[in-house]
Amino acid sequence: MIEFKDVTKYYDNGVLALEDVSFRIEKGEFVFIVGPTGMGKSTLLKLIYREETPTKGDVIVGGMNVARLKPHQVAFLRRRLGIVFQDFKLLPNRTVYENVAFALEVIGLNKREIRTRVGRVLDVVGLLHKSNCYPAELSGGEQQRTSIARALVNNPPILIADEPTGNLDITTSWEIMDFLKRINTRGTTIIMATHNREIVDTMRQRVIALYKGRVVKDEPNGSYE
Amino acid sequence: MIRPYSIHFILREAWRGLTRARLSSMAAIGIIAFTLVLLGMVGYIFTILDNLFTEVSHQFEIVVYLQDGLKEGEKALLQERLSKIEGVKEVIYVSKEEAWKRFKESFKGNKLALDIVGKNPLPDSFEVKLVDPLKSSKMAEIFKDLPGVKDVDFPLEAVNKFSRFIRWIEYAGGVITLVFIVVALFVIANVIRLSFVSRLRELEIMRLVGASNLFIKGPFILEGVICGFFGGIAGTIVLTILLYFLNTYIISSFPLFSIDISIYSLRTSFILIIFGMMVGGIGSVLFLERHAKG
Repeated sequence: MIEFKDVTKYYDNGVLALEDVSFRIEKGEFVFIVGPTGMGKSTLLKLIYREETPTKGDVIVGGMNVARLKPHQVAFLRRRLGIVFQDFKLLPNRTVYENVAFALEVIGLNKREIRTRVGRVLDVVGLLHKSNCYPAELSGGEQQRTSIARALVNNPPILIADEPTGNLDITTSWEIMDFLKRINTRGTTIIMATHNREIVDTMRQRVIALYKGRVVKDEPNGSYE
Repeated sequence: MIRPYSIHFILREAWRGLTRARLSSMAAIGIIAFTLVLLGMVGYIFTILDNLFTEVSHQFEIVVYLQDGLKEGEKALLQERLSKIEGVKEVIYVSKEEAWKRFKESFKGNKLALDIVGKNPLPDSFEVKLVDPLKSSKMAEIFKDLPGVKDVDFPLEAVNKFSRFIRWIEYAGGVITLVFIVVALFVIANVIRLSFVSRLRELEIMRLVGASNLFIKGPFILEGVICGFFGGIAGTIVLTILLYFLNTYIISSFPLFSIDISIYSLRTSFILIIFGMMVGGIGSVLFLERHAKG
């Protein structure tokens, strides 16, 4: 599903973000990318959704060599990925419903299709009753669930989460993790960057640890340390 | 590929952009309107000058003086040959008696001048009018070589000066219009910039969920085109009113000029509006190409 082959990434300012990173993620896996802040976690994720391209090596996502995609093909790669961020990235002047629908509107789906799909996904994340609320009227957990709904509404086979619990208290974080686990059980591959030790240690999933841009550990049912 | 829902989305977003920053949108519409009025005025002035030039150049003519003692048949033959040369519009025979009469007419009351000249010194002549008075000197060369021609005379300086004057005005008009088109492009680009900045968050999300370029850039280009459209409408209205009054004034003040006033026809309005829309569209593309890659 996702493969990194000897990927090295230097930023334009000469900073080394990743060095000789190689791994494979199969369909349906749940993978934590861990490591202290600034050790390359976000860069690794950005290479998957092609916000960045590798300086050396190949990144293969769903059979596509991401670095070789033409600009207009990037859009099609991203339609197959759901992406969730620490800061939710919701539009403040749109309701929960509109925020989720926005992701479908901008890829040209028709109103009826949008209504069905948004309704279904809001039901899954348990926010149907908050459809008409604006983000400011929601709790942090609800906001993150809205952004997850937006990431899932297009039925992507892969969900990328960059510190999704970073802004949430511990109870709410667990709520989100339970939720991600459920989605994973339904077949969605999940790659989640985090530095939350407790979550990683409790979930017992595959862990890829980065330190100074290198993979220092990659084990199934791993822990943070 | 473009589905009705896409069109709806692009239209809605473009309209949202336009109405969000009303002041700058109005400024853009204003500058486009102004540019189009200017363009129309310059076109109008060109038309007037063109008419003026044709009018005035009717009075420019080459005078071909004949040798003394030509027979009637020779004169007729020469007139025939002259009028058959390409570029010649009209050839009028002026006998030496006729010329003398005109001369005396113009110096009427100046007894001294007439006394000095004494008896008629003028030769027979042809007054030749050209299709294009600017070719006077070239045509004069040809006339000079015809048998029976003694000399030719034409108002070279006047013709040249006049055509230079007209060309200068046309250049100036063209340059001013061009400057304003460039200014309009910049103003449009700035409107699009404002709209772009106010939508940064949305654009980020659009890119992340895989929106195509049509959805990302389409609304901005359309926003520019809509500005151009309204600018075109406003400009056309102002121009029509302006030209109406100007024309009434000119016709009443210079009744001799039969000026063709077709410049503010429906077709011109249509062209101006299309032109405004193009300026709007190109202005936004200019911005997007520089600042919104990828």
